[in-house]
Amino acid sequence: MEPLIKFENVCYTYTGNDAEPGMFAVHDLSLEIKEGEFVAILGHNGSGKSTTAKLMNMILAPNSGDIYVEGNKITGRELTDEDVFEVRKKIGMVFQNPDNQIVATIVEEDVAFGPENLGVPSQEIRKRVDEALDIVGMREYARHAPHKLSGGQKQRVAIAGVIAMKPKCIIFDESTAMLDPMGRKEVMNTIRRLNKEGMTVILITHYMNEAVLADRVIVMKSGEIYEQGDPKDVFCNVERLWEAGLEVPQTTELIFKLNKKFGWEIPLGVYDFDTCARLVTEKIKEVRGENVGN
Amino acid sequence: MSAIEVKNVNFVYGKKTPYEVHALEDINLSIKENCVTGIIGHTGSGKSTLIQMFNGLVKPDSGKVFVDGKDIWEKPKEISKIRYKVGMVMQYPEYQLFADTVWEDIAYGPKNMGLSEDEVKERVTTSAAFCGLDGEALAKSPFDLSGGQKRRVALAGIMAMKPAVLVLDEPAAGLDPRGRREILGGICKYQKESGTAVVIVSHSMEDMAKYCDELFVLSHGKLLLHGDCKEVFSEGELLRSAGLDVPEIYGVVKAIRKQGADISKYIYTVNGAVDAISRLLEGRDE
Repeated sequence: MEPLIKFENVCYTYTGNDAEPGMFAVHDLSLEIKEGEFVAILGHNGSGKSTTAKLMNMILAPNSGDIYVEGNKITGRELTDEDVFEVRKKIGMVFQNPDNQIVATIVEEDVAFGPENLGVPSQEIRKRVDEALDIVGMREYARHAPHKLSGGQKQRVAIAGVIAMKPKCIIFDESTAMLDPMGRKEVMNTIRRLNKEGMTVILITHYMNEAVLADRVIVMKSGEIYEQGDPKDVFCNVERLWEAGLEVPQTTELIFKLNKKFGWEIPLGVYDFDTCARLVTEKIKEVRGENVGN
Repeated sequence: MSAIEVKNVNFVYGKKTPYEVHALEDINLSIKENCVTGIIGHTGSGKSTLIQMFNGLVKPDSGKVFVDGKDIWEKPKEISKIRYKVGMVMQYPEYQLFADTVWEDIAYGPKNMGLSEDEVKERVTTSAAFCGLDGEALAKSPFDLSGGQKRRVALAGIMAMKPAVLVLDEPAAGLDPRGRREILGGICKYQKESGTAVVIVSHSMEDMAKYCDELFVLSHGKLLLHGDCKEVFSEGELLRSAGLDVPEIYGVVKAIRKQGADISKYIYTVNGAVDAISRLLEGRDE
């Protein structure tokens, strides 16, 4: 099957000036996103994550290289507004600051804004809005004013607005960065649920414990792919991630540091609290047992 | 004496409208001198309203705010003086840069304080150094810098005024892990060397555990908890009910205890856990 999104040797440069020529924000990037996949993109500030996302739904156009959405080439020719519309219908985006994405004064009107602009018939809009609010668990707030909601709730309304456009894929560009711990949990649960129901999810984040939930992690550095694979494998490469200015989940960091300090060989991995604790406790008991024996 | 003292403070938004919100309810707290104080709470808990009271951007409906022992609203016309004493770094301060060069942007505050040229120069250099900005960066336009660097410029601009209290609203929001470490590490270094009081608002329990000496927890406009990290993070249930959480590593340490290793309960950083385990293995644990 055709991948949903495909990049072939994509380059993008932000325009510079004479003193400082533009730098590659994305350099010779090739990647594929399959339908239904949950991909997390990590990388330090300026590594090219957000540029990549903006290339995916045509907010930016590459300087060279090709991008395909469902097998259709969206680069290399004069594009009409319809072309852009088609892509944005398929690939939605949720940004960092919920306050910048909400346009209406009533929750359900805000969610209806996207489908209205797509020319969806009004009865269908009603249906889509209700469904979308159900999915994010905000139906009971349909008639509330968005500015009075919490950060997590607002972000869920923004997600509902994208869902109502029935995209195949949603890109979350650091959508939890401004939320408190509970708001982050709410949004992450919504994202996971969407993915389970078949939505392709691309999650750009600085939180490693969010990236762990993905099927695949792509780590970017200087506009290129630095590392990719199963989150468990990627996060085991602790020192390599540190080099890229990133961190690993605290459970992995603990085991890595213990292994290093005591010469232990607890298998590195991404664990929940209990598994991590069991591995560490067993080792402590084992070592103490030996000490007693000596 | 405490740097800031808040007594019986109340504040209501949208008074006598259907949108009335009691943003702060009978708050009493004092910010200690010479330490890093953290303020945590869910979105809408009143954190930002509270810190805006520290420098008189918001006037309490009732109650008093003291800076250096003086009621800041005693002479309302002189309230702007308080803003040199209590420096405020707002959320996303990089949007507030405006000058032609980084140097001029940082110098704007000290110049307005009427300091001599030499003094301004000295302050710009020192505060730029705390924020990790070198001479090369000082000559650039702030608009040519990356987001993380812009944030440092904004921070240096406030530090250069040498406020007695430095208040920061989410100074690390949106930065990558290295950026967070650098900016928060720089702030703590500044605190130690200057001996001033620093107040940080953040949503990251991990960062708060790592950098703060004292914590205040707000929930729905009320003060829910107060203490050092040890005291505050041992109230896991209460924190979760207030929309917050404990640092990840705390969950692991708790599970280790449950499985029968008598490691200290009060651990909130990964390095702390490693140290505690080595103490345990050497048989000198508390």
